[in-house]
Amino acid sequence: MNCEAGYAKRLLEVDLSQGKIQKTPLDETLLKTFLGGGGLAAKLFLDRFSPDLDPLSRENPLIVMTGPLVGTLLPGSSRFAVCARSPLTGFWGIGTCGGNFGPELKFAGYDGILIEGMAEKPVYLLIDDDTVELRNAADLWGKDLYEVTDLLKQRHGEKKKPKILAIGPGGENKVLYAAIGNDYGHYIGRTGMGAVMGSKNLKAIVVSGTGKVLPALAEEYKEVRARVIEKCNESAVAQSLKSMGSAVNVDLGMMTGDVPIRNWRQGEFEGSGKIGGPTMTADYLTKGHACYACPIACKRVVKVDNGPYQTNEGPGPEYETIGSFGSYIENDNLEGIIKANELCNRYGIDTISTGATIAFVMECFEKGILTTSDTDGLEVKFGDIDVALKLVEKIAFRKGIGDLLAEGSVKAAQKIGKGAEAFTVAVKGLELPAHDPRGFHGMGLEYAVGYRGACHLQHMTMYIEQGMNIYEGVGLESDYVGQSSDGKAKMVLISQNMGVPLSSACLCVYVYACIAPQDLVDMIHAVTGWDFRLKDLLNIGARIWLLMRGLTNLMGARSRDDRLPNNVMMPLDNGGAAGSKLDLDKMLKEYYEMRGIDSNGIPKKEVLENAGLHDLAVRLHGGT
Amino acid sequence: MAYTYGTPEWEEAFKKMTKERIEAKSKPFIYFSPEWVGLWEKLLQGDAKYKEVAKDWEGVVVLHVLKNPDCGVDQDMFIHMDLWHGDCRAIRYVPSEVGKNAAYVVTGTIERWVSVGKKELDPTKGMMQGKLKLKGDLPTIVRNVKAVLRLVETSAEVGGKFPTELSPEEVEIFRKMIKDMTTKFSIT
Repeated sequence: MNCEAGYAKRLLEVDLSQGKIQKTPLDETLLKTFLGGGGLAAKLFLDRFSPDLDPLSRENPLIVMTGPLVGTLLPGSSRFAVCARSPLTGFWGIGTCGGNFGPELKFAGYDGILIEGMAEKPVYLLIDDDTVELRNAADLWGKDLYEVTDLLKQRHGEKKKPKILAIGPGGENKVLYAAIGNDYGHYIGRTGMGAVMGSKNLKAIVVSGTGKVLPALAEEYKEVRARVIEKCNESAVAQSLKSMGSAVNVDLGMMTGDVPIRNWRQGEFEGSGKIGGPTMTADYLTKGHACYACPIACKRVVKVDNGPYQTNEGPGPEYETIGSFGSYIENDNLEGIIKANELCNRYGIDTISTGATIAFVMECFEKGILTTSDTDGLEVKFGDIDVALKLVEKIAFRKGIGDLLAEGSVKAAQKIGKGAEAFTVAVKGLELPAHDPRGFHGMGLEYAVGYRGACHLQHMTMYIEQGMNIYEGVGLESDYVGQSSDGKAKMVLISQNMGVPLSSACLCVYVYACIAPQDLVDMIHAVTGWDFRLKDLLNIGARIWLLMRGLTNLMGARSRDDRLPNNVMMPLDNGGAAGSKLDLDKMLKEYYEMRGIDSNGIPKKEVLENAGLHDLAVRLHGGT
Repeated sequence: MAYTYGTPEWEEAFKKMTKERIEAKSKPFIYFSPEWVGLWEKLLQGDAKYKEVAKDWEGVVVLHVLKNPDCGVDQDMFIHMDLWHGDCRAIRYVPSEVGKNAAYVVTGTIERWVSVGKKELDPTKGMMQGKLKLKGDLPTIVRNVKAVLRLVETSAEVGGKFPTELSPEEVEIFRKMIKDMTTKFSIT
């Protein structure tokens, strides 16, 4: 079935408890109001589910959602969101991903999938255009992500080239930060959506489609596509990503203080040059790889030929993984990082939370809070990638101390006690991604107020604050001083309003790093045919941000959760951000005022009403 | 007489001209003038920080300054830096075919270079935003990004009057000086 004007206008609903499958229409007003992706998923959750549900119960829905641009040939239009209440944080969970699953789902004629209930035995969902069925996955359960992807592609790939979304042992074992993988190299890593999928006994989703995604306005579409491709080709950011992948940020970030080191306690790391983009490119890269319809092709394919970390040719580590298994734990062995990446991919666990949790354990071990009697005899010391690899395995299979660490650093610290909580580096239970707010204070505010916890993707703050692009016409300054808290509240607010629609329209953040907000507006206009202006983009951004923030509030978040961890609030002695100290209180005060958030950390009733979120306003504040 | 680029005579005459112009302090000391280039070369040769961060750098970097007749610059200028493991062996104007074909070229308008000189434009941000265009092997540049940045930083430390801020008389002096130099040294 073709998707006219960007949408299939159809949701696939699957009740695993009852084995029931139905296709329900999606109302155009709903699409216009929430676009798709995370915004639409949040609206569906708000309307139909209780925020109090147990994240790993049959009641928690798993919502896979694309957006209007997905499946067109616009650059970066590969992405999709997976949402549920997060088992890691207890708040609104959302992870986004590129690859090719989202476009294929659209080609099959669905904007999204809403999965409810829990299968009695392991199953997988097979979607072949209009034919949708649940299949027995007994033989797949226990397989790692690469294996299950191979098997399913082989099984269903005689005539078509199906795209696979699956979990590994991490999801099956309900590691609270388990990931969902798409075709080997693309992961929904954050907030534990893989554990939700595992809790439902759903091993995989296989999709094949023969339809097309057609724009409403062909000429405008052609023009904006050419314009955006040209901007991507011209952009130095895109060229760096194409040449070295996201790993390029290690080398550049060391100068500005962006790279977190030794569980965020150190500013310098002599071995950083050994784990950055140029080294990976020179020594391990076999080829680049692109998500669907992307001219940037930032993905890396790498191989380690020999030695203890030998890996076959496969997806290489992103910057975040190099951070979490490199600088976070003070490891400068890139081959070890590549191995850790492969293991996390195969087991299906988030590389950021896994590496960050290991860094936390290393600090606890250094401080004597944990000893070898707690760690199955392992000396968990900074710099030791071998011990980190052993912990990855233990976490994925919940063996020994891995069972504790599979709960995430915050819950683990609560169980450990003895002051361990002081060494966790997380916001709202989500471990920080590899961008140190002492280098860029706006990122600190962004982490603090984020609806899913410490988030680096659902906004454009990093790109604005680091000056990678100048976004004109939305009220931003042309330049920001990274190590200053001045003016950051307004910057973050605008960054969210212009950036959140990304995860709803489902466009890649790297493409947005090369183009203007007006280009995104023109893309949405050309595909949907709507009279869509810049103000509409910003209004939708604000609405979706408030909706997701409100959901997190309904799930219990308050202003006390808008805090940064101890290790990040302390100034560093050396490095690119030496001496830099965030004024979080000032930024928060200004931000709450501008966003219209009350002292409890909840968006005010009138703000929600003005954003068209009446139901949410009533749920949070009462009334009718 | 015009000197042929690449000959010992060219080199000797270029050095002589630069020296004389540096010594003749009464002339307006303008960004991108031969005396400015000569002073930058001296500054870089004595810069300990550059020597440290550029110890692994091998090869030529060219600053490509786009023409702007309003500032007296009627043709693109290519400032060629011969750099080797922390040493600045020479900085020279070169003909366009030599400059364009260098391994590493940073291109910008005079206004952009002036912004860098005034420290209004961070060179890293300038490169990311496309205000300064970079050509060359990106992994090598990233591996040596501190050296590249120090090069640009030192250019801002040389001083001099910005071409965008010259009086009409000074623009004409600058235009004539560049014209004479390009003719004499076959830099076209």
